[in-house]
Amino acid sequence: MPLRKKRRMLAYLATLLVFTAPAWAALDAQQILQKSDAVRNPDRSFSLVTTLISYKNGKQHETSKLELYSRVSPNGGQFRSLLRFISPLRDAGKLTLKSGRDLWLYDPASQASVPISPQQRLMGQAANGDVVTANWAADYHASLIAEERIQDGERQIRDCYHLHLVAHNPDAAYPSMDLWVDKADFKSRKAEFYAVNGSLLKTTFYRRYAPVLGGVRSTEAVIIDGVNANWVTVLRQDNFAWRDVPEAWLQRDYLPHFRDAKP
Amino acid sequence: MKKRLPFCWLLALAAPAMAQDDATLTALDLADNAEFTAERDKTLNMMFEAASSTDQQARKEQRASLDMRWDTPLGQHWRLLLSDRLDSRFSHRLSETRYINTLREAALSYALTPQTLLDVGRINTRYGVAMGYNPTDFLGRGTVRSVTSADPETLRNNRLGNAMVRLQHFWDNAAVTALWAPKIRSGTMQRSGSLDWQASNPRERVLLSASYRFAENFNPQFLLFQEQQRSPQFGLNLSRVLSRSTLIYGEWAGGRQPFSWQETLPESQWDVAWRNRAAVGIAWTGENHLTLRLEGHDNGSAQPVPGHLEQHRSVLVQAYWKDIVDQYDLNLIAQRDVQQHQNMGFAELRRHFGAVDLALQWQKVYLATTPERRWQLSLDYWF
Repeated sequence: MPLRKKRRMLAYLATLLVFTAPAWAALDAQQILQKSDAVRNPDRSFSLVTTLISYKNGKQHETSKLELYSRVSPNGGQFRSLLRFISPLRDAGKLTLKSGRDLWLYDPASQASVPISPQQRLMGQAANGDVVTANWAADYHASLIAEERIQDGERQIRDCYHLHLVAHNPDAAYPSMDLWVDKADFKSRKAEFYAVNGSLLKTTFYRRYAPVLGGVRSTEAVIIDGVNANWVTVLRQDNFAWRDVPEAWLQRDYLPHFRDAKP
Repeated sequence: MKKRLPFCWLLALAAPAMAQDDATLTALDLADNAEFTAERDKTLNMMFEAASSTDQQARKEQRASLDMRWDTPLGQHWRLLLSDRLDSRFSHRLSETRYINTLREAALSYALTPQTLLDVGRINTRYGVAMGYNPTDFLGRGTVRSVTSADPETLRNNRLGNAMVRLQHFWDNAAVTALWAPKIRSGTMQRSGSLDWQASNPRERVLLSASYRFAENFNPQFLLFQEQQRSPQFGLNLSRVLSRSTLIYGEWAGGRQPFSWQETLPESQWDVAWRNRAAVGIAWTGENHLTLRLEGHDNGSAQPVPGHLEQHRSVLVQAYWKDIVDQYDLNLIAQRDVQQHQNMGFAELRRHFGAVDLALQWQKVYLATTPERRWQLSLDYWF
């Protein structure tokens, strides 16, 4: 290639870079949120096992183990989920079905499926909203507060987008939250969840990123209570598997049969 | 040196954002050292309960109960379910020991297709969304063999299922159920080990139910119930989440029938008319996990007659506070019969110790027209 032509090509490439750079540099807050959802959540139905250990003042308080089945809802892109308690033994076999705004609790002792409100807690500081899968971009309006350098749950310094999320969907687990998304790879590093009155409910660190279900996803969350920081819940996920979760399973009338679903 | 100065400034400016406070570091240290032990997914769950109770006449009673539930798949399509409870009651003289066995469920399930399921055997079904009174729970009447608590939830857990054949089919947004429960009259109710078919299957019965998810937050359930030599009864169950904290629900059943107390009389003496039964309620859960519930009940089939205590109109109030103090749950239920002006109550303080629960209960119920107050201390162990 003649030198002149080469220079022209280089100039063209430089110009292209200069003009296209702002396009990716200026990702809007909603796009950042969507990208963080894509890192956090698989794109098709799956199952996993979640173990929760809560601590109060440094002492182990409660432990529970749940199996989670999730499927993306056909309308709206949100997940529908089924939770089955494995432990504690007093709750073994109980199911929670979350389908949009509807929440059902099934107790095998009475074979009864009763409706519950989303605010009912699972254990420790973990609410249903912490355990089930959610695409936040479908439920929240995001705004970019700042680009910040934070220390993450593994005590690493990370350059992050600091987003503020306000729920526009009444199905959202929390009215508002702050989220720190890693600028390098859109991994969620930290979140703060707020009550309706704006008070801090809890701070969550997402950590132990590992290759699971076709992506590199967080396998552990550390949840610190917003009022009493000595109240801590560790939520660890394992036994990840792609699973066909038919729509029919996600109905309250199916709940008594759900054990059949295990292969 | 000059070159390093801006870097120091940067560090100083960034420090507040990066520094994690001591509590956060302590929490992360805890998480680093968390030990996750392997726990098996059990098919057999058992619970032992020891309870001691005393009433206002200082009459004491002790009880030991064994509760089991075995739910296991048998190959890919079959599933076996066994659920049983044995209550043994004794006073200070052990010669007065009485046993009552409640075979709640014994059923086989077969998946004809992933969406079509067939069940045969004794099966517990519960319809209804309310807590204190379920007019659509057509198959649940008279199936409690051993009353261990006045808590409506406990009463529902410790009851007999009905012998039936049940077929269910599911679509993406809908489900239909058809069940046939034959009349079986054998076994004596008083016998401790009786299967008590008279209580669970007194007449031939057919129940059809269907639910359809019209929207994510609207999934009503419709019921049609037909009993041998009775008029068909209709039912409807509704619930709706209003906000993160608030849920409303209601259920209704209606059809031509006599007053409940007339059912033991010859049919010629029945006063048959269309009668409605309904329960509506609202439940609110705060951010501190206190749940408050208010329910209204209207039983059009009940008519106040001497010796019959069925309530016509009543109001139920519940306050349930999980973890009111570390590991303590408090459950208060008050119910008022607004026609007979009688108050019933249930209060429980429950403490969790790992696999053990310790509970102190106070309850006030009516036996005929006489109120009975009772204290009960119980210890539950799951294994």
